[in-house]
Amino acid sequence: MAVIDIATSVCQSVPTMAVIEVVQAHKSYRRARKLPTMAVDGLDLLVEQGGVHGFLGPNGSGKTTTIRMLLGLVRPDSGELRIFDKAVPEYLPQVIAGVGALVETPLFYPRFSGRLNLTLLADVAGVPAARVEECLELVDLRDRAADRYKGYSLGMKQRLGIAAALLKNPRLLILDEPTNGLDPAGIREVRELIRRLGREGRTTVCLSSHLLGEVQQVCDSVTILSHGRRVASGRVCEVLSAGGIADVRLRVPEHVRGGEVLVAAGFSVTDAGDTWLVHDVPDAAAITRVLADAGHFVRELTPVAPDLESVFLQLTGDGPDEKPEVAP
Amino acid sequence: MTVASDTAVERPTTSPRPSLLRAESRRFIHRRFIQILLAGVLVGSATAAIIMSFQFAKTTPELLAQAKQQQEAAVAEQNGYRADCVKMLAPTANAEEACGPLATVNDYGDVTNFLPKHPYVFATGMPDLAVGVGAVVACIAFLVGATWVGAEWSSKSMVALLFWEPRRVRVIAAKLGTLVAAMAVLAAVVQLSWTAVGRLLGSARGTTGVPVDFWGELLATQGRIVLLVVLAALAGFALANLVRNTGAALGIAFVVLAMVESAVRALEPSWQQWLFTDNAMALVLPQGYTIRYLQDTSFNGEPTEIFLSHWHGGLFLGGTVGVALILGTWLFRRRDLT
Ligand SMILES: Nc1ncnc2c1ncn2[C@@H]1O[C@H](COP(=O)(O)OP(=O)(O)O)[C@@H](O)[C@H]1O
Ligand SMILES: [Mg+2]
Repeated sequence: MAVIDIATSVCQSVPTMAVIEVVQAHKSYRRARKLPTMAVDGLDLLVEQGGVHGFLGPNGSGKTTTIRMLLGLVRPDSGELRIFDKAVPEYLPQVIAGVGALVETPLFYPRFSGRLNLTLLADVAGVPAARVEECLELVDLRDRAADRYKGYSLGMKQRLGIAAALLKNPRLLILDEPTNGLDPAGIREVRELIRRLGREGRTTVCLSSHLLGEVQQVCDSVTILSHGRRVASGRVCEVLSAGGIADVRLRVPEHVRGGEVLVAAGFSVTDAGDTWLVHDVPDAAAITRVLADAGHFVRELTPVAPDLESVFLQLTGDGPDEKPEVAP
Repeated sequence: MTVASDTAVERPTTSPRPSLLRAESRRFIHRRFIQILLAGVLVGSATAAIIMSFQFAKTTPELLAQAKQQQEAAVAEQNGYRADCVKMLAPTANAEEACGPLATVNDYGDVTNFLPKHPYVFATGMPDLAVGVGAVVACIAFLVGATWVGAEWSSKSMVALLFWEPRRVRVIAAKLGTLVAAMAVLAAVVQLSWTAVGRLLGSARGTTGVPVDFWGELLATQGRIVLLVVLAALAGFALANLVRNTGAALGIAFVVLAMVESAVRALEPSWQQWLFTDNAMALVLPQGYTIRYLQDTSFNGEPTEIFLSHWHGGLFLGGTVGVALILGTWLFRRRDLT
C-alpha cells in the first residue's frame, strides 16, 4: 500500500474566485422503455480559481454527467451552472475559449494523424500552428505526430487528448479520469503534468477521478460525489482527515498479547490475521511507546491509506454501492 | 511528458481567426475517401472519353460515297429477292400484295446508317452527355454527403468539436457550407470538362455546328445539373445526420430508390410524380419530364400523361431535402450528447 504523500502546500489558503459554480443541478437520462436514471440529483459545486480541484466519486456517481452539463453537451433538467461567472450553457460561447476539456475517452478522427487532428482543432479555435507543436511536445508525441491516430496506444491516445485540451492554453482545464487505461509510467507523467499546471497558477485544473489516491496525490481541494450529490468538499487534507483515516497496520512477534496490550492502553484495534489494524492513531509513536513499555517490539508499522469505500462509509454512513453502468 | 517545458505562452498577436470553415475544408481535402473518389472521377472520365473517341468517326465524302453504295446494294439485294418472289407467282396474283412493294433507298433511312462509325454530333450529343455525367456525379455527391457527416458520428468527433464551438447550428452550418461549395465546384468542373470533351469529339470525330440558342440552353441544363448534384449531397448529409450512421443512410437510400420506387411504378403509377428519380429527371432534362402510363390494365387506349416541370422537380427535391436537414439539425441541437 502506498504511503500517502500530501504535498505540504495543500493546506495553505489561496485567494479565491469561483471558476465553476453549480447550484442544485438535476439531470436524469430518459431512455426508451426504461426507468429514467437520476445521474445528478441536486448537486452543488464550487471550484475556486487556482490549483487542482478533484471530483471524487465512484463509477456512476455523476462526475461525467456534471462535466457534460458544464460543457453544454447535456442539458440539465434544472439548476444553475456557471463558468467564470457566466451562466452556461447560455453564455458558453463566450467562455469556451478559456476552457479545455477531455471527457472520458478522446474523440479524434482515426485515420488522421495526431498532428492533423490537433491542427483541425487549432483552426476552429484560431490557435497558431506553432502551438500545436508545443502541445505535441508537451505530451511527448512529437515523434509519432505524423502517424495515424488509429495506431496509437491507449496511453498515446489519452496524451493526445490532453494535448488537445491544452491547445487553447485554457484558464480552466477539465480532465475526466485522464489516467484511465494508462500504464504506471503514463499515470505518473499525467499526474505530474497536472500538478505542474496547477502550481503554475494560470490554469485551474478540474480532475475527476474514482481513485482516492490520485486525488490525494494531485489535488489541492476536492468535492466528493455520491449518487449525483455532493457529500463533502474542501481542502483535501481537511476532508480526508474529517473522515478519520489515520489507521496503522501493526505487526508484533507475539500477535495476541500485543493486541491485548493495545486494547488495555485504550486503542481501538481490529484483528487482521497476523497483523493488527489500529484505528484513529493521532501519532504512531504512541503505539511504539505503549508496546515497548510492555516489552513488545514492533516488527512493522505502516500507515494505511484509506480506500474510497471507507471514506464514503465515514462521510455518508453508506457505501458507494454501484449503480449498474450502462453502455453508452 | 516533458514536465520542465513552459506552457504559459502568451498567444501571439498573429493568431489566426477562429474558423470552423477552415477546419472543415482542411478535413475535406484530407479525407482519403474523398481523395479516392476524386481520383476515380478523373480516371473514369478520361477512360470514358477515350472509349468514345474510338466509337465515333468524322464523315468524309469517300466514306459517304461508300455508305451510299452500301445502301444502294442493300436496296438492290432486297429487290432481287422480290423479283424471285414475283417470278414464282401465278400470273393472276397481285405482286404488290404477295411480295411487297418495290424497295427504295427511303426504306433504309438516312444514308449515315451505313457508315461504319457515326460522327459525333455535338449539338444533339452534348445535352445527353451533360445529363448522363451529371447523374453519375450526383450519385457520388450523395455518397460524399453521407460519409462526410457519418464519419463524424462514428468517430464521435462531432461531440469533440463542441468543446471548441458549442453553437451546434454553426457546427452543422460549417459542415454543410463546405460540402455544398465542394460539390458545386466538382459538378461545375466536371460539366465544363465534359463540354470541352464533347466539343473535341465534335471537331475530331463529327460536327460542332450548333443552333442559335444552343449555348444558353446547355448552360441552363448544366446549371440545373449542378443544383441536382448539390441537392444529392445535401440529401446524403441529411439522411446520415438523422440516422447518425453512414451505412444505415446508404442502406435506406438503396431501399427507397431501388425497391420502393420500383414498387410504386408497378403498383400505383400515378404516384410517380412524387418519386425522387422522376423529379430528378424533371429537374435536369432540357424539356422537363413527362410520365406516361396506361390507366386500364388491358393495355388499350391512350396513355395518361403527367408533365413534371423543372420547377416541380426542383421544389420537390429541395423541399424534402430541406425538411430532412432542418429536422436533423433540430434534433442535433436539443440532443444530449454522451
Ligand atoms: N447516456 C446515458 N444514458 C443513460 N444513463 C446514463 C448515460 N450516461 C450516464 N448514465 C447514468 O448516469 C449515472 C451517472 O453516470 P456518470 O455521470 O457517467 O458517472 P461517473 O462519471 O461518475 O462514472 C450512471 O448511473 C450512469 O449509468
Ligand atoms: Mg465518468
